[in-house]
Amino acid sequence: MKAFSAQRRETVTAWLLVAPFIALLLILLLVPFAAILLKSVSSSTAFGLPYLSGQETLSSIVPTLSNYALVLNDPHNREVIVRTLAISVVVATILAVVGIAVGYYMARRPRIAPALSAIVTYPSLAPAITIIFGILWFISSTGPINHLLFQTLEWINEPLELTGTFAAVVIGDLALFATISVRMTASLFEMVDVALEDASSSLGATERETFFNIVLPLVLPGVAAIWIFVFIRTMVAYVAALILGGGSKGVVVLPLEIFNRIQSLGISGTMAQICAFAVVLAVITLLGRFLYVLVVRRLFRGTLSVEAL
Amino acid sequence: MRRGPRTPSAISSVLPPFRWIFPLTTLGLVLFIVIPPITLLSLSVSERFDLAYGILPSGLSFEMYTQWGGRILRSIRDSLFIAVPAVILCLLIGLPVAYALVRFKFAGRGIVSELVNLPMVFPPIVLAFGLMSLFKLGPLAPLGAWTAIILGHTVVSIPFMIRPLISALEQIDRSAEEAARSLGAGPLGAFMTVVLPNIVPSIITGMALVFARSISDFEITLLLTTPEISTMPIAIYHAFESGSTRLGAAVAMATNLFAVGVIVILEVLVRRARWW
Amino acid sequence: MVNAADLLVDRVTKTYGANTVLDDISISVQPGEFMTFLGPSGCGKTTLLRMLGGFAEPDQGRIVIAGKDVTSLPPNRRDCGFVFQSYALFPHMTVAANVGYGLKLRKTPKAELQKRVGEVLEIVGLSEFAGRYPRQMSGGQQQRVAIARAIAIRPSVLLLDEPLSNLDAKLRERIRFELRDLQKQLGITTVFVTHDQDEAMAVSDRIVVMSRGRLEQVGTPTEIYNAPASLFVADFVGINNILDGRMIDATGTFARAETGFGALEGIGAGQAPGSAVKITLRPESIVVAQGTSNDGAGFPGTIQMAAFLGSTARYEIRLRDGSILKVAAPRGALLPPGSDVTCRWAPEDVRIVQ
Repeated sequence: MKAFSAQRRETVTAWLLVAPFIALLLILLLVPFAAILLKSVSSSTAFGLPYLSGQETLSSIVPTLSNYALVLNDPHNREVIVRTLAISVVVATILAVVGIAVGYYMARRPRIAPALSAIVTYPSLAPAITIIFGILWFISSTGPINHLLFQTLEWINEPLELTGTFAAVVIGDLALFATISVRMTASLFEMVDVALEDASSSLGATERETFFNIVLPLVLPGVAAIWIFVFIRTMVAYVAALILGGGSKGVVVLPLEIFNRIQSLGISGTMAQICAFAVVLAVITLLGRFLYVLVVRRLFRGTLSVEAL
Repeated sequence: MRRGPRTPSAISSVLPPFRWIFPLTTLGLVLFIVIPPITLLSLSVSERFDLAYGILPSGLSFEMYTQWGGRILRSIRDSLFIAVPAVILCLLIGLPVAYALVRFKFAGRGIVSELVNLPMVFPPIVLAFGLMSLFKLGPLAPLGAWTAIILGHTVVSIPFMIRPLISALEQIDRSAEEAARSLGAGPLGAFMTVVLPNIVPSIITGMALVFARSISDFEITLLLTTPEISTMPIAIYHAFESGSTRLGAAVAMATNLFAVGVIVILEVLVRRARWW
Repeated sequence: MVNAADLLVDRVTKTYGANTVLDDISISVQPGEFMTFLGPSGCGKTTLLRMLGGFAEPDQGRIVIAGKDVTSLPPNRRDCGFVFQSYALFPHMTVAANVGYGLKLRKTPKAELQKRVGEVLEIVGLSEFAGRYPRQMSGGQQQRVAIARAIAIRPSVLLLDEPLSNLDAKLRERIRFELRDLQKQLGITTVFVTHDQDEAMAVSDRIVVMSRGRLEQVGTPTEIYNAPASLFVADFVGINNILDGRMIDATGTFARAETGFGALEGIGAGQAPGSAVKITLRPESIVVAQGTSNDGAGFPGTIQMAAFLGSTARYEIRLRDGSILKVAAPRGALLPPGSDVTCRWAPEDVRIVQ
């Protein structure tokens, strides 16, 4: 009886301590998202979200999936969704490979690792938009790349139009998320005991054989988790597409499409469609997160500790 | 048994030696990270729009900085008006959460610890859209745009405060706190005298991370801002929209200098704090 | 089964910055010999072993294995079986895959590989664990997998880096003898590194005692134990009584020295009469008798401290000049502190060294 009440007191104290945080999330994130969810299945074209900024309530909503049908059937929207997934896959895959190479190098070179780590961390300290702006300038028609190819080397007849391309957005996202990928992967490699590599080479393996037989299989589940992590981060980011993608007719990704539609609310599209878009994006993201947690928990099966992720 | 693929030896004669792959990729990444900001810096202090060799400034001029200095300083001020309250809110709200998650076993603990990660993965645009509905069109409109942005930043950056605090608190032996209690300290007293001094470095780290997250934020701020509020990222965006690359370069460089500078100073403080 | 191998360390020197880790070391290991590098941590024994394995390169000197200069060869071209302190078992491979890894790299045909893995697992007594993963096994079993993996490639030398240090005391003593039996059975030249002198004494054909990058003594366990060449060796192999004295004279292998509590005789030669010497004496070679004898044989003293320690009684006895003798006596009636006693020992148990 006494133990029970002590346990209960502990629970009450703990919930009192986390109450402000829960309230913050509830009011600012969960309730608005619930309203977005409701609105996304509403047939009403009324402005505003149910309970928050509109007159709609649960009882007045006539449920419909037409908003989702509109979002998913429109060729433009489909293109946006496929493109968003494609960019995320490309970025996550390139960064997985780069992360493995650089992460391994950093983990096994403790002397120069701090300096490398400082350089690699820079893009995560500097505001994302400054990084993207740097790349915009770098690849612009008057920027250093074209200066070199067009004016100095004269390899091309007219400046390359790089902005507004798929590649430009990919490059921007690569710059934004390289830090996360490299640092997470480096910490994976740090968890692999160097003695395992020594053991492998004493048994006759070359450096290449040791890397592919021992080191890589051990970090692969972690690399998969990092891949998912970067994929999600790329999915939801829109700075790169906004600035490097060449505007609303250019390379638009899902979150940018939502942004553009919010900007032109009342001119084209309805609140309900935006909400359907938002739900699609959030669901993909949260599914990704679920998968990530699953991979981290299951695939490791005790071969490596997961503290780093 | 799982085995990685064996690289065929035919390829190995064409490719550079295997061990070169790692430093070469690293060099490539470092150049990719370092060169665009350097050329941007060159542009911001260049007299003409055209860079020498595409990298170095052609003639030195701080015209952009002096001419637009007032605007740059204003956006730094606006960023601070938002980042500082956000840091304080994150600390006040985040510290109890970290403590509860580490010290107490309670019903719902698993849910709370997953909720801590939610703001990091939730799409910022969806969060911003929700906040916009609350603060611009909805019931919280009277609180104003400043509050909206501060609270928005608090939500997205609070995981950066809680996570380092959790790992710091896990390092502290629970019996130290119990010893303090046995010597007559109350729960709060024990926390203040035994726990708090030991997590100061992590508090500073958390503050630096939240500060960095807040000052860098563009994707949430953009939807919530009004013409009166121009944080540093927003100022850069306006420069981009106005088509002035040189002005954008100057604002971006000033922003970088300020943001990275503050974080480096905080990081140095952490190193000191560990030496106590 | 294993080809006769000879291992030679020839004038090897290694420095890290201002720190000399190995100072002009030369050792030769005979075919089939069990050689142990013994010393405290930081004495360079592990660095030397890693050099034999190819994980470090000497600044100067040569390393020859089976007649072949391997000084700058990478580990994978050395043909050494290496057993790591942490075992370094590949966590993502089964026991059989771990043991067969080296054979697979050597492109051994599958049937042959399976046969050899089976044989080796049989030798270490782990046949029924072939399909397990390392994390499903106890420390002692993991240790045997590590040894099986190293010997599966039939290396010309077997190198063991403190392989028993992660085991608990009882298991350590058992595996120590298993290891020795296995080595005898295979007849493989073996180098073993440890900081535990009991372990070294129990398993080795010969022992190299090292300190601060230098060789202190090379010899059989008996030689090291009975005739420590230096104070460091004496102290390290557990001779606790080291007394100051002055040389009187020497006849043959025996010498006489003067101490504060009287003149004594012991093995020692070469020191000039009158020079300062150290006298070493093992605690268990001292016989303690109650009462003070008047016949002049033995040295009178008073018991300061007495304690039972397992099967022996430990005393600390204060001699006439105040120097303290540590004594390990067979268990009998424990003499109480304050008792007057006489200590005796045979001259053969005393060493007189510089």
